[in-house]
Amino acid sequence: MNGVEESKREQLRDSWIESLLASAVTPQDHGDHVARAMKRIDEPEATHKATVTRKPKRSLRWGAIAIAASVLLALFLLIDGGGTSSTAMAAVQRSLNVAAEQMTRKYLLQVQYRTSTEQEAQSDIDLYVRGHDRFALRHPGLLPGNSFWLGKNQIDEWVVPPIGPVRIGNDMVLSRWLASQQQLDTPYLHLTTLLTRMSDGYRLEEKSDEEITLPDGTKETCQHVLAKLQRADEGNSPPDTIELWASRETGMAIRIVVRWKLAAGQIGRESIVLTFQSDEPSLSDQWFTPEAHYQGQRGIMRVDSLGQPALE
Amino acid sequence: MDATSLFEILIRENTDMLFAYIRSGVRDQHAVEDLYQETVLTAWKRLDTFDRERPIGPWLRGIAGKTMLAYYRKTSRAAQPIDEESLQWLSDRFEAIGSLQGDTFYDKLAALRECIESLPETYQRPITLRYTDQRCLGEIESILSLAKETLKKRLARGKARLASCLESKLRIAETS
Repeated sequence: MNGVEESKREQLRDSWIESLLASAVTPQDHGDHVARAMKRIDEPEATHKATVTRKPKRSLRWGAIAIAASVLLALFLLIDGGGTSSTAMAAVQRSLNVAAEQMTRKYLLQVQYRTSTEQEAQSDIDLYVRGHDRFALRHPGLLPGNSFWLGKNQIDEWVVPPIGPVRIGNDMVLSRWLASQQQLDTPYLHLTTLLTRMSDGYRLEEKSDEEITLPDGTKETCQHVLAKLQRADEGNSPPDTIELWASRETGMAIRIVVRWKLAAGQIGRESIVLTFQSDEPSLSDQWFTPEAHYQGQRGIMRVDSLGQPALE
Repeated sequence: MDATSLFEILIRENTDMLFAYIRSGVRDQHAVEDLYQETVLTAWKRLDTFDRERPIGPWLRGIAGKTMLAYYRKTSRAAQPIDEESLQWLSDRFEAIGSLQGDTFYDKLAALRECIESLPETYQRPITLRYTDQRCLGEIESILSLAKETLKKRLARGKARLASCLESKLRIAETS
């Protein structure tokens, strides 16, 4: 080491010990610095960049969808223990654990239903979910460019219709509004119905592993679990089968297919397919509020499920 | 617990160490704070590259080091350029401190506090006034009735003794 290098090293050694002295003589309080850093992480730009650099395989580790999780939860609670495969049960349980993670994900939700003209119709819906208690769903409208948004956050349920006031309430707002829109066939209503009406058991069966190709081209080896309805109460119409494809690696639900058995000539929903599309960590909590889904001034109608609507 | 919460816990556990590491390479306090922020943000963005089988401290220091190098490249007025070799030299020492007993970075620095205790009074007093009591040089000159140059020399020698003492505790041989 020459003289210049030695001098440089001595300076560095001096800086090193000086820096340690600052930390050694008094416990440091860096709470504000940490808070500031974490706040920056929560900003959309930061999280967006985090996504860009994340490998697809890893990205599967976080997240699930509220509705899928609800279906799984219903399965878990309602399955008939007798004859259920323990490994299939373990797969469902693992998916449930992964579903509890708080991360925004985008899913494609496809609803297929049989119309009065015996034609198969399909709605493709964008669904954004975060954990068990937040989602935002863009439903295509009857006319082009006439889509509407509905969603739920930790406080409110809300609907942003194509025109008219925004409905916000704390309970069953979506169900009531959707029930008044006879022409709309929404998966939310279906799944609410599904979850509230499911009162009988399913038998879980583990099928052979399958490889599913994700939208980004990644192939995911999935554990395939089939839940078959064992019995249904009279008058109820629970799905006949619910299938889950969960990542072997992470346990995350990659696809869920719910099917109803329709009698000949019967109209109604035939299937709901939920397919993982992408991580959307750039979408903050704000995304799950109605304000994120309209521009300009809109009337706000507060709707109490037990009381009368009130315009704000 | 979600990824952000888990990450925050890891960052909280390593923030004292990170600040000390960055301060070792950059004197400007505002720049230190900015570089810390940049390091944490970059770590979050690159979380997928972190091998979870390994300790996070060296990985964070690696990011902080690159952030410091970028800082020096951008700021021509920077007075103390560092290079990859310097950063490795520093990181080795922080690694050794990390292996000391104690739950927190402050606990682990008990070794340095022992070194201060063992300093001769000639050096201990200026060091304590400067770093524990955080007095400015002018005040210390008055308290100890020392000339400015004498005080500077005592502080420099005191710190050199502390570095040797700590390196000895860390079983690091300083070759310079």
